[in-house]
Amino acid sequence: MNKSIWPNGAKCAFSFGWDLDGDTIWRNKVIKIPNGENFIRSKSIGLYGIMKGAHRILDIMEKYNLKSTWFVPAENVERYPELIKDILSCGHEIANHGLDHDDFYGNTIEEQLDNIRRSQDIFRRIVGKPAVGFRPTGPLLSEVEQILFENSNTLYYSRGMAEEKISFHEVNGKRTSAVRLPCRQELDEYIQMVYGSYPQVLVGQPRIAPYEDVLSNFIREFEGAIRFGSAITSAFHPQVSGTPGKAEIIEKLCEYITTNPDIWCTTCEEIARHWKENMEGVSHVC
Amino acid sequence: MFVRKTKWPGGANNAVMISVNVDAEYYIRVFDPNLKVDDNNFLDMGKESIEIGLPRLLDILNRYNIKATFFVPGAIAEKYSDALITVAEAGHEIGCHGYEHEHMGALTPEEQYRAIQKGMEAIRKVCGNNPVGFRAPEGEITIDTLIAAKRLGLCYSSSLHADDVPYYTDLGEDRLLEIPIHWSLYDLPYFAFNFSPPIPAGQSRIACSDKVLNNWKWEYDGFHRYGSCYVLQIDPQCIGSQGKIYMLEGILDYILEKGNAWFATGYDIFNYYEKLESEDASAYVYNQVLAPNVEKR
Repeated sequence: MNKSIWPNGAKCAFSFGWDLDGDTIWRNKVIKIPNGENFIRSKSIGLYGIMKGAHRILDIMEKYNLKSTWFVPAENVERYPELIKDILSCGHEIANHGLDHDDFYGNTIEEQLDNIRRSQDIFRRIVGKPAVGFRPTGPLLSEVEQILFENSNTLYYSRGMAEEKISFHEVNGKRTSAVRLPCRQELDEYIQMVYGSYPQVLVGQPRIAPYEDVLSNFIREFEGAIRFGSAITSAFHPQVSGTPGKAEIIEKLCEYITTNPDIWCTTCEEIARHWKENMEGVSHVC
Repeated sequence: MFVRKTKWPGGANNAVMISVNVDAEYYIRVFDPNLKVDDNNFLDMGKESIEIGLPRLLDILNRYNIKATFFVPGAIAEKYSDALITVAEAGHEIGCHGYEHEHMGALTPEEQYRAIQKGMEAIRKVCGNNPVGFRAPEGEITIDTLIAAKRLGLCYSSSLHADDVPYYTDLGEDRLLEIPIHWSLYDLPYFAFNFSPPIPAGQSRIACSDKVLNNWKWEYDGFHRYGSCYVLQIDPQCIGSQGKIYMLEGILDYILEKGNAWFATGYDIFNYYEKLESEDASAYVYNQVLAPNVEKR
């Protein structure tokens, strides 16, 4: 195996990615049903993440002295500036998770760029600077990717896909300067445990997974990352992981991470910078 | 720490509310609120849940000396009035769950009001008392659903998911106590199955009972750690069946073993919150601000 490139002899790098979606995903679903704009029940599942879950996660991160990255739709940055301040004051990173969690960024290059510009303007106004990391909530045109990822302010791209290798993101076979930081479905607890019967979330109403199986799969993913020297990040959600029983899973995962010297746990920004500087032959100062 | 522990009566560590949704044949509307229930198969299952599941459930609650909160659609209260009288006479609370398990979100505010009113009247007719608790039939609701419940004299709702301790929903000129629920602490979504119409919609395999019980225990560990309000939702036709009734004994034993839980009905919780004068009892504007027990820094 190649020599590890991660600091302090760690064999893999990990960042908790917290997708602070709030009620946007639920709102975007019910809005398509007649009278859906007035529905309040399924949205309240998402609001749990805002009202309680986010602060519970902040408490857990503090308890284990861990820094993480929060992917926030710009709409929620604007709606909950106090919460954003709390996240920042605990030393976490805030990254871009779209404008309103809609999967439609626009039909044309200009429409899509305008959508991204609007979200970054909100970040500038509330966070004080544009996000350097992106987890888009829908597909982008390759021309848009080209422009976004050649922008010197864009450091990394972390989308929810099955890819495994940290690399420079490529558009139409051409390398950009943005780091592609893998975020695999295996580290998305929403897929395993979210539930709403109407509207159906997930579609088809699959059973909520056994929590012991969820934790066991997470650990297997870490074991693989350690074995192959990978960089990984999660798509965890305060509206799911912040509820009491799922927070127990996060507690146990934090115990595993903090007692395992093979794992370098930090923000996505730190991982991306470290890897990029390493690739460009610049020694990283920790 | 941002999140403070909630205080409970007598210095209890956390609250536990055992709630029973007596949906009978309407259970299929948990999975699709617009389904018709006049299929013989569903009607038979509903009947069996009352004749077999419910007495089993009552026996266990009696053995553990726990008072539970039963939410019943008015039409089921009328259809199985003797069974419901047995439940009320055992000292359990009976709450409103609509009349025919209506899909409130699909009705006008006036229709919602009339459905809740009709459901309440059915319970009063059978049990002699007006219900004080409301659990909206599964399916969507609007703020008008809660406004109607409040105007009809219901004291609390146990229908939403935005916290793990009770909170108030702002209704404009009024407010309503919400005792929040979570899908992971409900038996039906793990176990219900039907071929046609498909329930659940994607016909996923029936879950492993032992692992579902373990999920309920993991949740209890969390609710115990954070001092929250653990609300279990069970249906007699699910938990009351021969192969699953052990789960109820299993979770109750687990709760008792951990100790210092306050077992309460919805009305007990409402009465406790009414007397609270702390910031825990402050109203918040729905979906605008943080939970009352999150500390400002």
